[in-house]
Amino acid sequence: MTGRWNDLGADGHAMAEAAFVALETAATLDDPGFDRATPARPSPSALWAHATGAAPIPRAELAAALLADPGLRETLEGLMRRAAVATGPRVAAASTAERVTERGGDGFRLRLLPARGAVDQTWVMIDLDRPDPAPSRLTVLPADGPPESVALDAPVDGAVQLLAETASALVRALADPAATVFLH
Amino acid sequence: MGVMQAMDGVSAERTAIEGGRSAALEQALRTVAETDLGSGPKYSALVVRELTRTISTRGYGRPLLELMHLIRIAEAAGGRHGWPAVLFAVPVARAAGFRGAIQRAAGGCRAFGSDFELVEDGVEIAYPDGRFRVTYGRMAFLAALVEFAITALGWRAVDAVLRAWLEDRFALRAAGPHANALARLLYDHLKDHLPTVQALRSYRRLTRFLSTTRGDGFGLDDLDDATVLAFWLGGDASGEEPGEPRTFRATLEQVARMRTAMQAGAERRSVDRAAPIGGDRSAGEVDPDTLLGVLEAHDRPADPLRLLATPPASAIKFLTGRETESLDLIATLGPQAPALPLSVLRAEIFGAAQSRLTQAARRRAPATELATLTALTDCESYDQRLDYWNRLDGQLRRIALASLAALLDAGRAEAVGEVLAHVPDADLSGLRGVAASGDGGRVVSLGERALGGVLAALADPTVVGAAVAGVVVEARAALRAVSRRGFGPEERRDPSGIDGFAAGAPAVRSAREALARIRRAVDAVLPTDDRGGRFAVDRSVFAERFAELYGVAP
Repeated sequence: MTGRWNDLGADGHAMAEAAFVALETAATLDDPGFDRATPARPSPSALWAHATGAAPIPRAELAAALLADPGLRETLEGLMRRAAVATGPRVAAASTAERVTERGGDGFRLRLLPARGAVDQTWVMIDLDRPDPAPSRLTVLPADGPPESVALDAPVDGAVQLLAETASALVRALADPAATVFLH
Repeated sequence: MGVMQAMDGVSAERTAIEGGRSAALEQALRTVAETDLGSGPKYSALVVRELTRTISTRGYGRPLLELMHLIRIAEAAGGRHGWPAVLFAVPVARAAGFRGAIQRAAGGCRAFGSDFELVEDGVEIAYPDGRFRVTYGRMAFLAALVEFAITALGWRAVDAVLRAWLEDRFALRAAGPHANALARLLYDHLKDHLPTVQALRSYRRLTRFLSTTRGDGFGLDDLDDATVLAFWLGGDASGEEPGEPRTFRATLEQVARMRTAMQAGAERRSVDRAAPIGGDRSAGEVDPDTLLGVLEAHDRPADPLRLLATPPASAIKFLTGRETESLDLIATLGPQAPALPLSVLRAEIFGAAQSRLTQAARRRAPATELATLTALTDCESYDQRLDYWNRLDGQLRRIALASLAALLDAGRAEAVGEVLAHVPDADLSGLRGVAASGDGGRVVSLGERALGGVLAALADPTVVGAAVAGVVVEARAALRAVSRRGFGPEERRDPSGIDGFAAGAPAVRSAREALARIRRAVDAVLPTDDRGGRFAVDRSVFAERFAELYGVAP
């Protein structure tokens, strides 16, 4: 093997060029670069660990990541859908931007009812079509902002109820027609 | 006026360099590399490097096909949640983790035992038209690949492809089109994000420089120490574009890559000459798998350091930070390091000085500080560096020997391989009588019952000879003397710690061998008598160039 430039021929030159470019590219991508201050985005694994409750991502960290990378919301939603017992999609009337008080899902119906005698509180009523598997957590992923999540009591006669502040992020998200609801 | 000043300080240089690469691609790779589910990094440095290489060469064709089959397996094992419950839920992506997750799931899944079969090293899918095996060891890389694909392309795009595959007929031949669909998505994405334009510019600049300085007939031997220095010194004069690397180390690494590239080109040429006319390979096409092979050969020498930084070896402090740093360049240059010995020496000494200068310039240090740094008055001499390499060699030997003793104490069979590595011409035929059985008298059996006796006999000069027994004595003394993390008697009681020694001991030896090669190469080109004079000349050259680059008045 002489390895002289003139002797390489067209294919040899093509190979040398491709090899150099690949080596250089790999080295560039291996180089940590200058900007190490920006935190890496949560990976699909990390989002899965969050969606399943195995390793929740701190709320502020997740909110910042969703803000910085809108594509992340799509991945989070897809993984939450995978992890969920049942999913309630965006409400069809989303374009009206009206708040909703009732929404359906695959295997459940969810209603928001004002608590009698306490205007600042709202009942979240979930009627399950199937008792098994029983969900233990309700999560809402709004069109913007981080997901809101709350633990659920065991269903009684196929229904789960919880009382929440009307002004809470959870109730506001549930009333957002553009939000997606997950029962885990 | 110095280049740095002309471009408004380091920020301009940084912008130019960063401009040539894709922030989105870097971010996606970094996202995978930094995945931590609470048990440390999910993916080892070796897996991340393989992912980077695969992306850089666009060599993802075969891996995506493997991924399709793994998705089938994980979808079956993942139960209600499907494949993410296996690929994403394993906290540390190692063979044992995937083995555990899949074997646990297999018990409750009827498809295992019919469509899927657990085999010794992985899972085999029994398609009606053929079988496909995915090993547990391969799953870490494939999980990283799907993680990268989703991060780069988005969930919807990747999920659509995987869903279509899972909904397609259960057939080996059905996987190809779906793997190709994902490959096309990646290709389109990388077309806009791989920094190939920047790399091509560097390639043309370097070949132009070589043609100008050495003539069109330049060869591999022209990519030498003189070229590295001249290319670095002449960067501006030859029309260096903003953002091109101009640290001496970066220049050295680039020339080393060019050497590997030229060797690959020459090899291709010789294959072409040997190939029959009318072969099915199209002219000018470069197979990604061939490129992956070139990268693998170039990068392999860096594996020992990566391996030492990866579990289980990382639980043991084989090397200090300074030792790792001192071996990093030698490992990075791979097989090309011994061909560029003076440049390695220069990069170790003047490259370190340039790093300090770059840091000082970044924080906009006063001109007096920059002037002091560029003068290179306090920098290490070649003699001092070679003395350090000598001490480092001794230290690596001690650590390797101590690791051997740890393996012996733990009764691990790997100890025998380590002994042979330390005494390559050892005659271990005396162990035949100790071992329970042999193989025609040529191979010493290491059956479990015999192992204890064999390992004990390694310290007996009447059985294995004085050289081997002496190494064992030396190893035990080294183990007693090493006080680094993981070497203590209490720490060595943990069986998982011993796995670290089994993985780390060969890596330490490999690192030492790489050091030995560069030391021999330096000795060959720089006799002891010449070192002082060469250092004085080089220091003057580098000081002058630094003053020019960093805008310091001489």
